[in-house]
Amino acid sequence: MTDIIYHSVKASNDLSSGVGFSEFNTIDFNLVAAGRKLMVNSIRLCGQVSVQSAGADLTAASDVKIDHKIGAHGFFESFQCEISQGPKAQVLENLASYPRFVSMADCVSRNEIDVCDASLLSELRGATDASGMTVIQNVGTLSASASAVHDALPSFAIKPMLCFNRMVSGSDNYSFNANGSIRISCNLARSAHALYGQGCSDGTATYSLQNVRLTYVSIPDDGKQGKMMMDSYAFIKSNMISTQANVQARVPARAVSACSISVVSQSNETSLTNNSYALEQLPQLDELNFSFQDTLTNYITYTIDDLQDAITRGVKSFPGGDALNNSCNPNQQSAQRGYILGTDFDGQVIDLSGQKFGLNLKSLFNNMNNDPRLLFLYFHNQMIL
Amino acid sequence: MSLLKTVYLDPELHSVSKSEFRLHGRAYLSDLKILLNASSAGNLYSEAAGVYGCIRHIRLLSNGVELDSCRFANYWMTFKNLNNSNKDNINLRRKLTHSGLGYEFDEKMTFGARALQGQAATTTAESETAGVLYLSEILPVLNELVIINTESVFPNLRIVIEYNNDDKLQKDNLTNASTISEPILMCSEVLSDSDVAASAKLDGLQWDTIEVDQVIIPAVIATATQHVIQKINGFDNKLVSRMLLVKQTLPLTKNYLTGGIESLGYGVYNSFVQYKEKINFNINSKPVFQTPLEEQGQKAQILHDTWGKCNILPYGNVSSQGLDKQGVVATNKVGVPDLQPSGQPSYKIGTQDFVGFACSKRVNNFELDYSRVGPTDAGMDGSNTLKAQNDSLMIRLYAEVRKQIEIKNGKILVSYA
Repeated sequence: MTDIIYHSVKASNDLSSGVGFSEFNTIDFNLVAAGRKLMVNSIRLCGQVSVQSAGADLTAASDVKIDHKIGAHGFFESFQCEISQGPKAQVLENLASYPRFVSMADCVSRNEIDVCDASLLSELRGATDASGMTVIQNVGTLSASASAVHDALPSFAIKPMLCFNRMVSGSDNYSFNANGSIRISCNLARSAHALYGQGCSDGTATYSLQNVRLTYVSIPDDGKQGKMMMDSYAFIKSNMISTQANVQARVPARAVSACSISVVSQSNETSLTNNSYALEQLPQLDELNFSFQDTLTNYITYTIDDLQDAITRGVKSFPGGDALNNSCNPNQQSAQRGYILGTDFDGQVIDLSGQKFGLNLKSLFNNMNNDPRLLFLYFHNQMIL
Repeated sequence: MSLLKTVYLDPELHSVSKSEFRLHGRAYLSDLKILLNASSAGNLYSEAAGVYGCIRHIRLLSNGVELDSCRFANYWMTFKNLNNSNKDNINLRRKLTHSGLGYEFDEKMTFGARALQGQAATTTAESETAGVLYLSEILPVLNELVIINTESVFPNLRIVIEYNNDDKLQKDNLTNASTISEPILMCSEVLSDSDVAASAKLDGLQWDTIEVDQVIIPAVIATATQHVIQKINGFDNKLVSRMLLVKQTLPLTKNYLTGGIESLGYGVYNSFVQYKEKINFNINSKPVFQTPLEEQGQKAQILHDTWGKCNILPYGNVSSQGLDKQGVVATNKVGVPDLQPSGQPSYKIGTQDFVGFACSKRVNNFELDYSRVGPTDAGMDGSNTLKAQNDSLMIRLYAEVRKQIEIKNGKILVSYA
């Protein structure tokens, strides 16, 4: 039986004014536990969220919400994980456009009834758009009194999709002695990205995160450090301003197993009232073409010209993608919540850092120049420590 | 494994309070199952416990030596009903247990249990209202054995079930009394001589049994802060792995609507969210958590991390669905538990607040550090009769405790590891 310790770390730049952290703020956490090992996949980010509109708490009539599929993940625009001090000091990953990645991961592996789970509820996820409004309202008592006060902020505890939380089965726990201390930084999202709804139209909807802390579990260090295999991603953003988009990019990732793509219209990404993290449809997709060199330096080209095939490959491109249980159905696609493109590399793990990865996307939608689309490319990368 | 015979055994003793099975063969597979039926005309089983609400204690004995047991097993099995994914509960578990866990979305876009929970006048174990109890869930020693050799290792093997006769522990509605019919033990008898001989070579084994201790927290008056540090002796000098805390409102009638017939939420299996609650555990004079658990989000996440999937209804672990109030027509009507016919929020809001954590050490001194504040508001029913956050609480702590069996000179020695 292993002696477990529950740790709780406050942000090293904790704001003392009591207003908490709000949009654009950076939150830093330092994880150190000499003589102990960080248990795999045990990092959680906890806190409370206060959402206000025009400086006042939300009312039942306020149409202000978060993306129900990602809950409190939507407040964190990006994460950076690094080994800050010690023999293996290095930056491990830089997770940009993080909420969209979480949304895609949710979409390929769950549908609405899966939310009835303690872990997902604690992340403030919900089943419907309207859930995204309810979960950020203040919480009251179990009372029928009309004068009952809702005096508690909703709390959250998310399992951020960091490399330390995406360790592959069989990986060893992380020894602080052998590797060094860990620094995790996150940048908070713009209020206009994290919040949406008609109640945000005047631009006064804001959020703040309070009592933010990072928790993790450690066990005693046994003096050995086995291999740690972690999933991560590299990110590239591009756009499509005509019926054809051609992306040629050098991807900073050495062990890529798949590429997943989502789309949002440029106007909605910056909209106050529409969901910036929506997984929108690419109108009238005609053809999708991936080109790169495989492990044997053969030039590989995948051409996909069937929408259903493209979506199925998009689902399978995620490590947790479930072809039989996901939200990528026509209903969700038309609601701009279930459209993911992509492909896995047929089981190959490819170094894309030394070559150009090509994506060619064709659409028959001839009004694209008036309503350009943004393309978010996530490359599923494996890391070994 | 070859030469197996499926055997259905009737209890050798059965009464309203107890059933006892005896296994007379040479050896059995350890996947023992019991078919239970405690149905009644017109009334459903408890939505949380299903058919398991009738089990009070259960014991496994050999030659009079208790090998494994579970006390207050109805509450433990209620948690095991919860300890699955929503899909597993919808597709399988609730059909086996007749519980109402496993929530589906309907055309109103609200969550609810759509399954029938056993409602029939029949009182035989073979009827469709019977549920299946996998004994390995309640007597984990069975997980460590493939074959139970009753010829030479565990002779005179008996399974003794004691029943709850309080209908509140069994039913969602108390209109009609239930009857516990004779259960049936389903097992596979091993006939192969070589398999029987191989299973006789057992020197000992270790496993985590389920033990429970409980403490009562007195009622709290409005606006007062209640802080209780309660020593719990039940786990002293034991190697404890995972723990679970369940809160039950007392007296049990407080879990029923006015009139005391129809249960409120999950009835006596509610574990109500408390107001401004803080929980910590001092083990061997050290707190488990650096700061007490007080946020529902963190509690739910640790529960999941400790025990795995927990099938909680949305807003089942918080005290309101946003700004909605009990007794007032809900504004949030979508993505919430089924509203009451009057349009008010479900009484299941705030009823699934369980706490789990990994202890993982030998306990010499265990203290529960508990505090809450009494709200000033009226109760859930608009009066002061159902003040779930002011009433006294029965706190049950279930724990996985390491035990071991040694066989010496043909004698069975059961002890704590």
